[in-house]
Amino acid sequence: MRYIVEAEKVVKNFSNHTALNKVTIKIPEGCIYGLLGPNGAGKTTFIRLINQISKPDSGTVLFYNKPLEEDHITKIGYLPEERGLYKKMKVGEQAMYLAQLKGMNKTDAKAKLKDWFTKFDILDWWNYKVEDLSKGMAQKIQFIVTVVHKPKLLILDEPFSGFDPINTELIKKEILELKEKGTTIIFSTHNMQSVEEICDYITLINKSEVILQGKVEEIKKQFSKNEFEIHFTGNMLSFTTALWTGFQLIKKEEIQKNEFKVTVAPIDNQSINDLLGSVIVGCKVKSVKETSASIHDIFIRTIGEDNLTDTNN
Amino acid sequence: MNKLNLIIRREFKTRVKKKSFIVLSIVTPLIIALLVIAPILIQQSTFKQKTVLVVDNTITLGDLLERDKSSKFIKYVNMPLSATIEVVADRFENASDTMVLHLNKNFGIISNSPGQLYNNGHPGPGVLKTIKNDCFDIFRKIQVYRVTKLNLEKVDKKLGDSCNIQYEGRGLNPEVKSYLSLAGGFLMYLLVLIYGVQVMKGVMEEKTNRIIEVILSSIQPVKLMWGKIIGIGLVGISQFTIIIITSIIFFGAIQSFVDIDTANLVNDQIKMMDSEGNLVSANLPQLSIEEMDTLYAIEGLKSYLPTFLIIMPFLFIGGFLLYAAFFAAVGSAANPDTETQQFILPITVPIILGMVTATTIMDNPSSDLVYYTSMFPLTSPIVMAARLPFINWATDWWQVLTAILLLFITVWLSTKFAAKVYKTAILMYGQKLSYRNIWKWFKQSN
Repeated sequence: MRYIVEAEKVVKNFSNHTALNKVTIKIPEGCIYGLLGPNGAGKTTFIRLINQISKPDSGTVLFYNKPLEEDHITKIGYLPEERGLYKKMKVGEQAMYLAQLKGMNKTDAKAKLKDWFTKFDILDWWNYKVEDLSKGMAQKIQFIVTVVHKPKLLILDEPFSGFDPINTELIKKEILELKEKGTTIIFSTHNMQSVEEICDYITLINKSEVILQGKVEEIKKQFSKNEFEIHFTGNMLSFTTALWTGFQLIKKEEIQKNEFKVTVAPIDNQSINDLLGSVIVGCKVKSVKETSASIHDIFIRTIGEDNLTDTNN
Repeated sequence: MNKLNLIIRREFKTRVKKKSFIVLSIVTPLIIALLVIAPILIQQSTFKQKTVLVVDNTITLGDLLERDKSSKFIKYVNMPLSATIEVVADRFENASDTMVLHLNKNFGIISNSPGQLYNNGHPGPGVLKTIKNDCFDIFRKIQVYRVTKLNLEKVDKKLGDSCNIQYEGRGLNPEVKSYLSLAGGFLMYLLVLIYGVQVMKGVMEEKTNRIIEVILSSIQPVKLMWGKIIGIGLVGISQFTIIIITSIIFFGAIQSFVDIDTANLVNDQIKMMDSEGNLVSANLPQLSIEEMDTLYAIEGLKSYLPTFLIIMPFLFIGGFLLYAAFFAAVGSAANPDTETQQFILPITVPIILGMVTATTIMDNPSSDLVYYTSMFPLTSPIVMAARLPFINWATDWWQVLTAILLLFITVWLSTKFAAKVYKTAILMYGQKLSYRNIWKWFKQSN
């Protein structure tokens, strides 16, 4: 597998605390990589290292197998959580300035920006002053200037914060489209639903350390509680009788008369087939699915356990 | 395009395109031109010739006043002996430009017997003083003649009204030096203060706007800081150049429009003020001496120009960079809602001290205070700029070089310090602006 970013045992200290403690994160090319963690965990510090805004105290950060160098900046697009624009400048002028700072030449920047402005249907805003734009309008501009130079790596820190649902969908669509075209995306967020929807990999950082890392599917599997949700119509009594095959009832919900949704878990290593074999005698099974842990649950559980361990220590 | 270049261009362009820049560049010279022209215009309008009707009971003074003391400003008319003060005063009660002067027969002889001046309007202290001096001068001459039979008027005519001392020392005429000194110091003071504060505001703007992180993902913090300082410095230099050039143009335009012969007016004013014991100033070769002075001044300016053009840019650049760096550091450490005043004060104190010292240079260019402050890097940009016209290059050249050298060493240190603080502080939100924190951020930066 080819990695776009490889951070190895990175340490970053500030005068009164350690922001990153031996953090190792490898980001495969072409994926959407979720960076999760509570506030102050060290996510933004990690992102700033990749952006060369600050330097690690020890450890290495490689970009396409090479130590970070100034030229790499042009291959990265960064949308920080706290983002702003020069209020007194005109939209077009400002977009041109930011695009050129990312190494584009004037002609190229203008052409590409016009394309994006047309795509987002905001070409009329070119000569507006930023202070006359609404927050949502400004966010569209910020997104455009982040991606206009076709970065290989796109770093989005809480990209949806403050976006209305329509803009959120628009940006989500663009993110997926960029991924299709081969852009690698680092996605730092608290929004767990968006992580489940679009991320391929995640790293969970808590108190400056990596506490969970891997493919989203595998992590979900790892945290799977081995529970099944069965939706059936029929007699509840005959269903409970079938549980003798070695299952216990975790949760019961009556949808309407003689229609239930139940969650069951095997006591030992019984197969769900054994249960179903007995259940179908008295009930009509509508659906069966294995209940997996949501990223939200995993986040809460892992952080909670980590904090608990710290307290005990 | 080079990124630093890009930053400098943006900083420059956004400021130059602002309405305030254009307004300031045009209005300031207009104000300067008006400040120069206005007093002359006011003088011209107020210095209308006034008529003084002299009711003379001394018999001698009135005639002599009318003959010898009538000038462009005051015309003395001696009333016939038959005219009494009551009649004349009544007749001219409502005339605004006419005054009535009554000299009783004991005028000048007995101290408690003053002359009386009647006027409806307010004659102004200048007019009063002139009349007083004119009367005393004539009285004095009569008394001297009575006692010694010496004709003071003839003596004065022979002697002229003053003796002339031509400055033959090295370099510029002292008066020209003083003007150049004050102008140099003041220019430097304004440049450092106005545009230094602009650097701070610019840095704070990026931090408050939260655009800083976007920019920093494209360019190194130190380069951004330098771009800002250089861009704003260029705005300052451009603005001053425009102001100076437009001032000259405005001044020329206004002068030709209202057609004032300033040289003559000034000359007249001098005559008016120096009228004590001066009978026939119009016949004296005053103009040629002034012409000579002007020629000397122009020659002096020409000889000073190379020094000015070579040394001033160093002082300008050094002084601006030094202070802009401090202002940038404070700007980066400030939060949107923090009060920066108490952190600006320590920066502005040496600037103000420099300016205060610069104003003393005219009177005492070789004092110890001037010497040390012109070498001390925090004050040298202003004080040395003001001291420059007084420098004796044959002996003092090393002082200028040392001052510049020390200044640039300090610039190097201050910009290094500022860059370190800036690098860390610019991304710190919600932390108090304090000297302790600034020191912490300085140490933290690697």
